[in-house]
Amino acid sequence: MISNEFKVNERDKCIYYKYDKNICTIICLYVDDLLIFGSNIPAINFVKSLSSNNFDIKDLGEADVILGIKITRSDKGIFLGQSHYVENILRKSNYFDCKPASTPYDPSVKLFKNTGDGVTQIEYASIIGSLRYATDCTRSDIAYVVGLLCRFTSRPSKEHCHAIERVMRYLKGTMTLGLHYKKYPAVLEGYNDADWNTLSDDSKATSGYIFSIAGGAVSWKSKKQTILSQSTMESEMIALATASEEASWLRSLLVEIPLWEKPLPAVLIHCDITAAITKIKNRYYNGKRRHIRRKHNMIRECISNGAIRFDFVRTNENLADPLTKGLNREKVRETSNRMRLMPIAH
Amino acid sequence: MESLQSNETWHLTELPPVCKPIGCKWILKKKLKPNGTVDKYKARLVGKGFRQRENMDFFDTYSPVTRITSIRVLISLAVVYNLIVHQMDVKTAFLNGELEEEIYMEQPEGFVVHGHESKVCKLDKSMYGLKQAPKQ
Repeated sequence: MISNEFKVNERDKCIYYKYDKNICTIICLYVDDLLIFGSNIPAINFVKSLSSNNFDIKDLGEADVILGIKITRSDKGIFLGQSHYVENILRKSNYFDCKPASTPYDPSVKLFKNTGDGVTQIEYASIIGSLRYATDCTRSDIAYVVGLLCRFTSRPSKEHCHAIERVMRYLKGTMTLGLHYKKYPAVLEGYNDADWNTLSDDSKATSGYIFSIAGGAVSWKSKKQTILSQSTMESEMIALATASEEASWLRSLLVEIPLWEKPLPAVLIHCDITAAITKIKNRYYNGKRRHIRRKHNMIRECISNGAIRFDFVRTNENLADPLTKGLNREKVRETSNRMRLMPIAH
Repeated sequence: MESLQSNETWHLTELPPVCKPIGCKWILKKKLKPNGTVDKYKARLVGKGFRQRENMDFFDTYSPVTRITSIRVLISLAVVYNLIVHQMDVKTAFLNGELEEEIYMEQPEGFVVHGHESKVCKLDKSMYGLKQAPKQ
């Protein structure tokens, strides 16, 4: 299809781009949906005529809804929201008339694996599935709690259902939230965090990272670590390794986008543990544990080829905090605002 | 059926002795408007892809799906560099791909050509239900 001077982005094979005399066109493919980004209308029309020669194409004009995400434009920027999707989840699971809550998760409640019989397993799984989609698309604020509740899908207990109810009540209060992208100077930077001291069944830590371009969050993850760590430093190291991987992926994605300013500086990752930063700056890792040494080597490699660099940030200002633990009301609001996860009319 | 014919998805041939045809099935759907009235009836012919064997009928399968992260990255770039974002939709995308492998299918129910009842359809284009369908 794309033989007409379009190049494939090696990082994501569904992105095609072309750069010609300061005019840039990017095509993004999602099975049968195409998003076309262009500097001007003729460039976009060119792509349209090209593809309608080969296929039966329906032109939908300016992008409105992609994958269930509503795209709204204003003079300040673009807003991505899923309020109708969230509303649908609430209606389907009969939580639409519940009382709104201000945080998605109550940190005083510790959740453990259910040893008794499971309750409403199918219902639980279907809600988790829908929440997962919302989380992956726009709602970075509930990433931690959804990730946590996912672990109990096979046999949920009453406590887990209460926790889901809490998420629903939070969503009810924050239905209109969505991501704002504004015209700030284009900088890619990230935050990284790990939470070691959680009380859980297998005492594995949770790692979280978030990356943003020009202030708006583009990539985030909250994940239980797969290997056991013995200290905060170790768990931070494991989290940093995951974050570095994502950072270098994002960086190489941007390298191949012709508009982005070259040369691309190293991606700055903020993390809140000095011990881990010092360890990484040191060329030698003197710990005995081999799997941590692997992570150490990986991060060192990313640093030495200029893909990433690290910086210290106080825990209070760490944007990845909500991805590794439950926070209080003010913190939830503050971090969401900093991710530019705000109501539409902002 | 019309789109299948105009697309030249298959032609009738004799079945080579070593090959086994896969079955097919009509999937009938009622599309409702949001207020509950019937919008249109939709019929879709699907091949029984589960009868296909790996390395004999198909080799690799994948679908072109972007990471949601890349979409967000591009949208944020669109804001920074003032790009226009347009959207398009490929109609019957699954029926557009050219097939590389040889696949034979039984004639669809209700559309058996008279005088050629023993013949099978050799697929030229991709079809719903085939293992390799999304990659085209």
